[in-house]
Amino acid sequence: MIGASRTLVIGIGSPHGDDQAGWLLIDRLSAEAFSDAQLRKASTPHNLIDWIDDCDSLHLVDACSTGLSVARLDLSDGGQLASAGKLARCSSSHHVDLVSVIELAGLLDRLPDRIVMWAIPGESFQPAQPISDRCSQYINQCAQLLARELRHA
Amino acid sequence: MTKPTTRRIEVGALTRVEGEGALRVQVDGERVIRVNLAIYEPPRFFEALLVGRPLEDVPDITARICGICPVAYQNTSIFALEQALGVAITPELRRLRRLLYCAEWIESHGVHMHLLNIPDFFDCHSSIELAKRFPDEVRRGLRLKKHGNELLEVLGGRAVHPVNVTVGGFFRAPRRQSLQALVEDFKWGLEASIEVARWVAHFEFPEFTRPYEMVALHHGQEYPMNEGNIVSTAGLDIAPTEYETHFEERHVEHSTALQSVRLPDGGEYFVGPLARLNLNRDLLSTTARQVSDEVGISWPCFNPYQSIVARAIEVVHAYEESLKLIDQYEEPETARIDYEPRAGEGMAATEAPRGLIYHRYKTDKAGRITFAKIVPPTSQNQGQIESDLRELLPRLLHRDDPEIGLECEKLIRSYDPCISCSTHFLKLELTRR
Repeated sequence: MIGASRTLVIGIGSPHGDDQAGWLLIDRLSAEAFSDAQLRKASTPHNLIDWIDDCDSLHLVDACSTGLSVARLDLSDGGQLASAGKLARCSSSHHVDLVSVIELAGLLDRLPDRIVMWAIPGESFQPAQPISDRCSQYINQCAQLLARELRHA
Repeated sequence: MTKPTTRRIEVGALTRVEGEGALRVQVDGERVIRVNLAIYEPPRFFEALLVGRPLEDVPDITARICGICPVAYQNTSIFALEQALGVAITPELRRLRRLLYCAEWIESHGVHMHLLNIPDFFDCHSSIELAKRFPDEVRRGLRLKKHGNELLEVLGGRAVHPVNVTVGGFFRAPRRQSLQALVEDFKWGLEASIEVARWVAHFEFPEFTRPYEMVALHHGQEYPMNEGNIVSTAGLDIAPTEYETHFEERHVEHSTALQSVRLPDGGEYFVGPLARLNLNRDLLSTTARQVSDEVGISWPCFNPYQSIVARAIEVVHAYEESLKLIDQYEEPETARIDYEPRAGEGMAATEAPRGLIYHRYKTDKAGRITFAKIVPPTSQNQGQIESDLRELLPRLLHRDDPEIGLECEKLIRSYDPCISCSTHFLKLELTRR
């Protein structure tokens, strides 16, 4: 449920290795207490369908297994959805991956006007492993970029 | 041209189920030689992970076994530990726990029906294809799922992997007003769930009935969720403490997941919503019972494809029971019953959305776990699924390989397998001679 805030940031993750990136990013932003953005953690992509009805700007943050820097994809016009698919159309719980969830929400007219996806590169996604140093650096980088964007929204 | 004597069919990965695995089939002419449901996802060794840890850690760890049905794992472990510790909870806390199960059934059944299983009945390859044809129905289904998650958030602190449940009760009792705030949505959900049940009951189901032994909990006064004897359509009626005398998990060479069998004969059995409904229909809520009477199915039903109807009726039940429990709810004086650690042993069986689940633990005098055993529903259904596929395949062999793969997947999905729980699904490899 979203109160007065119209911006929603969702970090998708799990407790396993660099897959924690989305959750740790939310922790980082929570520490900065953004009053104008609702921050949420999700374990499975289809959770986000429950939360997006009342927002007009949506930021999705997830770990990805490729890339050498934080990637920012503006999905608002659907133009970069194919690119997002390369990053996020992966084996996922129930095989309902993030891009499929965005497509489904779009078909049901439930997408906000603005959607930005942030992809944080990870190296290892093994169960119960700590976050890697490199991924931690990417999380810091993503937090700074996203915070700047939220402040200037 | 010589007809090939060997034929191999491979489906890259079974879609729209939880987890990963393969199906390997070998046929000789029209004769099915071998059907192996091969779960290749590595085992996660949750039981070993629990040994040596304080009992207080157990609910948070067992919740991690599944993102879809954490409540069943958490609570079954809690009930078993409470038995080991001699903890008796209050009726108020027991009702809150039933409300948690209602929330999980609404959420899990909502996801399985609308995102995973219903597409099969319209030859849609995904929920996205289904949403193009039935946007209003998919929108309705996702709203049901959302209600389940919202109730889980109120009771469990968050929708996935709840953090508010503990041995002895809850860390904090929910506010009455937080539950009351859900009532209008749940009244809508009750009506919507009735429409879902009527819709799915009229799907076209394959003719496929078998003489299953269906196994579920049975409680004399209420539809089984969190308590009861283990009963079966073959006349079994035992306390959960006797589970391991009548059921056994066995390792099979082709799978990383254990498979459960009935003792002493080693036969397969069937758990899940259809088993629950067949064995407990008279205990459904009033409206759910009425819906089960009017949907045109002759109960008991032994067609696994019609599990979706049982699932939909259970959602009606879960909404109706939720409304009743919320209406009765008063904030309890005590949210958690205190206990002293002690050496002991406890076992419990409850009903996860996809079927019976059994846990057993031993603790030492300091309250540390010295033994853990967890039997999820999917490991109990695996042998039955293989047996069903052996029965189904001869009817499919005239078709081409991709079609056979799709039909096998449909049958498997009707069980709502959760391979992550059992450890994880589907690549079909068919060898013909």
